[in-house]
Amino acid sequence: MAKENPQGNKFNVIGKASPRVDAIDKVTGRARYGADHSRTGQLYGAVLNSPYPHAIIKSINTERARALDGIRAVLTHADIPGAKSFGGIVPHQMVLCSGKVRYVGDAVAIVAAETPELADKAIELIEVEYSPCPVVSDPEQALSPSSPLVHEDGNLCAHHKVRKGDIETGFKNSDFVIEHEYTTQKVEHAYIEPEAVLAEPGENGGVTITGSVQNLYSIRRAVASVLNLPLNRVRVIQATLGGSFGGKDEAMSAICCRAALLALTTGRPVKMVNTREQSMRESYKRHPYKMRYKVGVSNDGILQAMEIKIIADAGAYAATSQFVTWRSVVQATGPYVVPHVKTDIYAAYTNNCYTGAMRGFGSPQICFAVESLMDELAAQLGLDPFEMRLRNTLKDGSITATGQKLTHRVTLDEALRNVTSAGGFKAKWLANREQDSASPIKKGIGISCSYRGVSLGAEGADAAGVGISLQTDGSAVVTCGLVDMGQGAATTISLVVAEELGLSSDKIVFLNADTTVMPDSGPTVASRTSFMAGNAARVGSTILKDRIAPVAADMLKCKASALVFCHDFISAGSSRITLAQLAAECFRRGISLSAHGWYKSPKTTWREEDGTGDAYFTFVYGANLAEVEVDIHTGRVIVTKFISCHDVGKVLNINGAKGQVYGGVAMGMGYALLEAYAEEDGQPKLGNFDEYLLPTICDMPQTEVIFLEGDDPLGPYGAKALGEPANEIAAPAIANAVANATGRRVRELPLTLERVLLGKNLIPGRERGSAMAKGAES
Amino acid sequence: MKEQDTINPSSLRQALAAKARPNLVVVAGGTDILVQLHDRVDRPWPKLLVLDGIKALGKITLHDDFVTIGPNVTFSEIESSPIIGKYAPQLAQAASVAGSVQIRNRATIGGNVANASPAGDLIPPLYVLGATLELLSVRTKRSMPIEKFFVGPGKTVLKSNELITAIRISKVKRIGFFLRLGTRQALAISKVSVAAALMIKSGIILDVKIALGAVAPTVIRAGVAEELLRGNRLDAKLIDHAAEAASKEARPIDDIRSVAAYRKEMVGILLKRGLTKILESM
Repeated sequence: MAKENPQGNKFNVIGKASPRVDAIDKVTGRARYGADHSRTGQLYGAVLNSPYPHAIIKSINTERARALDGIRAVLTHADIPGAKSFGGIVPHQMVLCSGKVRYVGDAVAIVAAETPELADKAIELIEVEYSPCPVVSDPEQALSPSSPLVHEDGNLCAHHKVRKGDIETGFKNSDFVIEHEYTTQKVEHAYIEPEAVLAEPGENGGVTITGSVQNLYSIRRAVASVLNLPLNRVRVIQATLGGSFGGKDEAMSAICCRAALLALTTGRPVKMVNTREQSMRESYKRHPYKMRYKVGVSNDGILQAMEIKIIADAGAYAATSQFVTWRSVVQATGPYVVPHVKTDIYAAYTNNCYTGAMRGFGSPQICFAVESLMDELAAQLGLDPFEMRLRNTLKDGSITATGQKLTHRVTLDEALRNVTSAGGFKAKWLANREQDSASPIKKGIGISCSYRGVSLGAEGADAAGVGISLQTDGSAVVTCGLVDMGQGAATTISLVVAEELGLSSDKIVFLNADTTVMPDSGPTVASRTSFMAGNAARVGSTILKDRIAPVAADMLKCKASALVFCHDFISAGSSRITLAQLAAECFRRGISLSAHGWYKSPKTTWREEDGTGDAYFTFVYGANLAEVEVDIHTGRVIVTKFISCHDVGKVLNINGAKGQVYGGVAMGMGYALLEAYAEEDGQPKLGNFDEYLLPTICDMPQTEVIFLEGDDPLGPYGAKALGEPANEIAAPAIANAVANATGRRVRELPLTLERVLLGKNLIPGRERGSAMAKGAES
Repeated sequence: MKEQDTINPSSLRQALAAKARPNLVVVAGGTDILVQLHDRVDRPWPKLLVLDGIKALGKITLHDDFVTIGPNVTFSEIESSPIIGKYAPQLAQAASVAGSVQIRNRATIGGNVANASPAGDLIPPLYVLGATLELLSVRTKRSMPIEKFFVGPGKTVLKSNELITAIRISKVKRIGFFLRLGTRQALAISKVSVAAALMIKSGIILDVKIALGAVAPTVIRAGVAEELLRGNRLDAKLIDHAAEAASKEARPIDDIRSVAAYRKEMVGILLKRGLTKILESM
C-alpha cells in the first residue's frame, strides 16, 4: 500500500485540496437527480394519505377513481402480492394500510395515471371510511398503562440500559448532586431534494428502481419481499442525491414499494415525486428527547455518578429507533469518566410523525444535555467550563460508561485545548460574566466536546465493498456499495484508489451505487463511509496492484518491489512506462484489470442485559467553541464566531473535510436557534420552508476549522469519521455561550427569541395572523 | 409550478379593462401571490393579471409638494432611490430588510400594500408618512389615506374592478425610523415592527406618527403614545412612557411566528430604541 512517493511526500493526493469528482456535473446541470429520470410512456404515481393520525379503516372504495379516464391502476393493501409491511428492525410499517392508520403520513391507496394532475384527481375520488381513535401524542403518556395503544403489542418501542458500578454508592461518594431536565425538539432533515423514484418493469419479470435512495440494499430487501420477487430481480440504482442527512434511509422503501407495485401492475414505468409538503408530512424526523440527568460530583470537581432517564418519541413506527436510542445510551454520559452509571432510555410509539436516522443519530440530543450539564456543574463548583471538563475527560486507557477500555490515542483534551486557546476562551468567559455596560447586547462564549463511536458498532454486521476496473487506456471506473449523498464519498473513495494505483484522480469515473453491481455493503450511515469504503478501496487497489505489478516489473526489467506508481506512470530508477501501457499489456496477456475490495470491521461486543461491552471498534473526539451576541431586550442570539476541532484520524481531502464541518455547524446552529417541527395531536402544523425556518448564509458565523490527526491504526491512512461529529456538538456550544452572556440557563431547544427572552417558546398549532390573506381573491 | 393562464397588459388602460372582469388575481412581483397560489392545492388556479409589463407604474416621481411611487416600484428600487432616501428614510429602511435580495428585486410596493398582511414591511412606514393611495377603475378614480385601505388580514376596501395606481407621500421633511424583529437574519417575515415619523423643533416634538406591524389584524397607529409625545420635549423619561403606552396599544396574537406576550413587549423595546437613537442624535 502507498507509502512514500519519489518527492519524499508521504502522499500524492491524500490530504490535499481536491475538487469534488462530481463538481462539474453538478454545476453544469449534467448530474441527474431522482426527479430528472424519466422514461417514454411513464405513468405518474400518487398517494392517498390518512387525514387522521389514528383511526380504524372501515372501508375503502376506489370505484370512482378507477372509472376516471387515464387512470391505469388504483391499488390498496389487498393488491400487494407479498409482505404487506417492511422494516429492517421491526417489519411493521405498512406499504398500504389495512386495519388502521397510525399517523397522517400513512398511505391507504395509490394511483398510477397518465398525468400527475389525473393522478391527483383520482386520489380525491377514493372514498375511505374511518373511525377515529384516541390520539397518542405524548411519549411519556404513551408509556402509561392507561394509554391507548398505537401498536397492539404495546407502546414501548425500545428500552436500552447501561449499568456501571453502583449508582447509590456513587451518590454517597458525591459532595453534591444536581438534577435537571433537558428537552430537544423534533427537526426535519430538510434535504433540498424531496423524495423521487422511477420504477420500471424489468425484462426478467422484476423491477428496476432509480431514485433518491441512501440505503439501496434494505430497500431492495423490502421491495423483493413486498412484491414476492427474488433479490436478483429487484435492481435499485442510486440517482445523484440532493442531500439526505440520514433521511433517505430504509424508509424510502415505502415510496419504492409503492412505485414498484404500480409499475408491475401496469407494465409501465411509474414515476413518483414528492412535493415538499408530502415530504414533510411523510418523512421521519429527528427524535425529540426528554432527558432527566441526576449527577453527583465531589468537591474536587470529579464526576462520581450519573443517573439518566431519557424518553424518546418514536412516532408511529420503529424504523431505526432501536439503534438511534442505542447510540444514545452508549454515549449518554458524554466523553467523561464516570465510575457509577445508571442509564435508561425508552422510545415510545405515538401517533406523531415517526422518527429515525438523522445526522448525529441519537447524539445531538444527549450532547446538548451533557454539555449543558457540565457548564452547570462548573458554575456550582466555581470552576470554568474548560477546567471542569479537563478533570473528567476520557484519556488514553480510560474506561467508558459501557466498560470499554480505550486502546487508541484519546485526543479529547487536545481538541479542547485547541478550541479554547484559539478562541481565547478563559479570559473571554470570565470577562463576559462581568458585563455591566448599558448596552443590551451581551457577549457570550461557550464550549462543548464529545466522543463518538465510529461506524455501526454493535448494531450489527459491518462490512463494505469497492469495485475497481482499470481500463486499457489507463483510466478507471470505481464504484461502491455505499453512496455519495453529497458528503463527498465519491471523491474520497476515488482519491484512495488514485493514491494506491498512482492514478490522477481525474482519470477516475465514479459510478453511483447499483445493487446489481456491488454486493450488499450495508447502509451509508454512521459516518462509516470514509472508514469502511476507504479501507475496501485500499484492499481492492492492493489486489489489483499485486496482479499488475509483476507485469510492470517484467516490462521494466526490475523487481516488483522497486516499482513506484505515481502520476499515471510506473517507474523503476530512471526508466518508466505509463499506466496505460501497463494496462494494455496486462489485457494482452489476459490478466484481469478488475478487482473487488472487501473490508469487514473489527469486532465489537454488547451485552444488552446490563449495557456493557466494546460498543464501537474506535472513537473520534472533538470540541467546539461558539461566540454569540445576545440582545437581552429582544432575545435575539447572533453567533459571531465558531471554532470546530475534530480528530478525524487523518484528513483524506481537506476541501471535503472542511465542507463537512461548515455544513455540520450550520445544521447544528439551526438545531440550536431556529428549527422545530410542530405537531398538535398528531397533525403537522407546518408544511414548507416558509414556516420551518432553517439558517441562511446570513446567519452563518465565521467558522474556523482545526483538524487533529490522531492516526488511528484501523482507518485508511489513519482516517476515522467526521460527518456526524461535525454536527453533534454545535448546539450545546451555542447554548453554553448564551448562558455565559445572559447568566440564565435555557434547558430546552431551540433558543428562539421568545424562549431566550421569556423562557417560553412559540405555541405550535395556531394559524398565522395573515392566514386569511392566503385565500387571495378569486 | 403549473402552467397558468395570464393576461399581460402593457398599458394601464388595458389593465383596467381586464380588471373589469371577475375572478382575476393580480400579480405584480408575485412574491406573495405565487406562494398563496402554491398552497391552493385543492382549488384550480384563477386567471392571473400580470402588471409588470406596465412601465408607467414603475416610476418614482418628484412633484412640488409630494412624491409619487408607482405600484410596480420594487423594494430594491425603493432601497436605493435617493428621493426615497431623502423624503422617506423609514420606507427605504423597511425595503432594505425585507425578504432577501432576490425577493426585493421582484417584490413591489403595490403588491405589499394590496396583500394587506399585518406584517407587510412597507405598510408601517407608509402609515407614518401619511401616504395616500390612488385607486382607479375603468370608470372611477378615488384617493384615500392608506389607513382607510385595510379591513383585516388580507382584506382591503379595493373593489374588484380597481387597481392601486399610485402611492403618494408628502415632501414635508421628518425624521424617523423603521425597526423590526424576525426569526433569522434574512427571509423572515416580521414578528413585530415599528415605524415612526417625527417633526422636532428645538427639542419639542411638533408632530409624530407611530405605526405598529404584526400586532393587530392590520397595521395600527399607536395613538396614545403619539399623544404622549406630541408637544413635549423628547427625553428619556418621555420615551419610556411612550414605549409603555405603545406596548399597551398592541393587540397581538399567538401564531406560528411569535407569541402575543413577546410581541407586546417588543413594541415597547423597538419604539424605545428608535426614539432613543433620535434623542442621541439631537
